[in-house]
Amino acid sequence: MEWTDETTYLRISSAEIHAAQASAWLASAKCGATVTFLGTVRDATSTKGVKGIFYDAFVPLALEELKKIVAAGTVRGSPTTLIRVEHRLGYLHPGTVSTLIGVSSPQRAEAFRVAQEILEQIKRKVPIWKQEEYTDGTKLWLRGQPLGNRSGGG
Amino acid sequence: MSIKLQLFGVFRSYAVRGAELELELSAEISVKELRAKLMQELPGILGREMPAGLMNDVAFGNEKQILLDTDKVQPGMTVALLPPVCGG
Repeated sequence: MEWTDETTYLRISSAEIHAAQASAWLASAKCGATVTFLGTVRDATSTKGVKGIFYDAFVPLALEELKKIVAAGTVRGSPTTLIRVEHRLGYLHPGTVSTLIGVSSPQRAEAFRVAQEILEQIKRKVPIWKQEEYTDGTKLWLRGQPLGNRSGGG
Repeated sequence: MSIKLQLFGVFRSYAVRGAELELELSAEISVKELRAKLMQELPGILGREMPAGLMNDVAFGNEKQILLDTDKVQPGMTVALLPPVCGG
């Protein structure tokens, strides 16, 4: 499932992530700095070997939450800043790219800041979950951040 | 009357079959009341205890938004059960 406008491309799907395709989309004469973050499945935790990670998501809501994160007036500074976020679903082996966050901005400071902020917000606000499968045959759904502001207050 | 609960993340492991379950609901209740009802009834429905503290950290949502504790849930609705997240 994907959503796009003139300055944003968001995708959450089982489709492979192609960094070169993202770089081409992020190229703009209005932007002097492009930062691309690639999150990759590691082959070990601090205590166990990792055979793979299964990514699960509530896709329609995840896309809505991503839209809020990258909306004008939030993390995005310059209106010409381009933002591309791709997140994979399904079972991925070590070495596979699971997440791409690309930001092209007029200035490098914004590009670095926005890319990092998007990643931090994805970890806290987007309904995506991962289950690690270890080389010893065990599996574990990773404990994350509780979603939402239950009261609706600030 | 009932509501449908969509299961994600760790709740998939607890589901007996499929990624949905039905919960009897005769009248409108708040999300906060739904959480309390599930704390009571979910272990019985799934046939096992939930990890300590998990239900307290669960959020509820639909395809458009995460629900507030004061939002209402009516019989016939579909609600997603959203455990703590860890994307990226």
